[in-house]
Amino acid sequence: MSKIKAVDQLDALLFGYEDMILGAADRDVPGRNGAEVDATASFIARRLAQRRLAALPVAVERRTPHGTATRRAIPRDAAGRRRLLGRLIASRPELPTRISMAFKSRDPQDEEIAEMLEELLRSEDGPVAE
Amino acid sequence: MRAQAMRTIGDLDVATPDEVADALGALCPVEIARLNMIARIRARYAPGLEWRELLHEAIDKALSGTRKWPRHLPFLVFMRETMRSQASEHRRKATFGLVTTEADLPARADGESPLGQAPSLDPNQERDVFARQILDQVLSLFAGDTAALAVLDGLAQGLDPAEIQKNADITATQYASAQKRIRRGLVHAFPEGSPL
Repeated sequence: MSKIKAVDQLDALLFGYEDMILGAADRDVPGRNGAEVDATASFIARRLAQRRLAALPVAVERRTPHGTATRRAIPRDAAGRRRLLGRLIASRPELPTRISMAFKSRDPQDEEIAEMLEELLRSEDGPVAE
Repeated sequence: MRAQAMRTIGDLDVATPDEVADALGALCPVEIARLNMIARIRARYAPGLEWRELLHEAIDKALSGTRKWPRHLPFLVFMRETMRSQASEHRRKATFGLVTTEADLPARADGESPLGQAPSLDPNQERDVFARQILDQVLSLFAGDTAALAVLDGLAQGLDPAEIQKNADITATQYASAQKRIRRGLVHAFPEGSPL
């Protein structure tokens, strides 16, 4: 082509080709509806979400105490609370013995169920500072 | 709250990280497709560098502020420059990164330097040979298309569109048409992107 070094020629050619891509009409851009566009968009979305999370002040992050979400999930009706406690006992063998035994030996009262759920949540929150 | 304070590097007016995040978040699918294509092109000439890795690193560098976005540049052009710089750095490291001194080599019994027997490997020469191969590969795709070859030759010499048209004696319409054929030719010849 010329006396310009091949490396420099290639760099200039790459540059020119990139200009063609940047300047092409939308309909002439290949792969504009492909899965790779979605993959890059997902990557960008993840990074932006991470950035937003990292920007949160620590105080805001800790505003929701551990266990609050679980507490919000406690059903208001007695039957719902009973079902929830039953599911927790079935899925978590490490539960305090008193709670797991309650279901095995007899049918606990509604007040007892509410108390047991509270106890479970307290154990999830960890020791409460005096 | 979005930071609006103007940041400067020397005399250069640069965007804030929040503005970079806004620009990234506002990219439409066609703009993302353009970035994907550019990453493919640059990665082709940086052996061992995967195009997604190149693009993701450019995004991270832009977001973290490691690479500053000069306000006078359109965002996609800034991203192109970032990838170009990264690919160039990658090539440089691949070529010159591993340095072995004579002291690292096992001594010969006859006392001769082992370097005296080593074949002469000039990394710059290797890069040039590799670049020449790629250039030839691209040009061969358009054999017979005089206008396209003239455009490619002009681009390789760093000429602008007006100079290329003048040198090749083609009109602006013929130039635009040749550009389209080049774009499509490279994409169709190499479905994974361009051969570059």
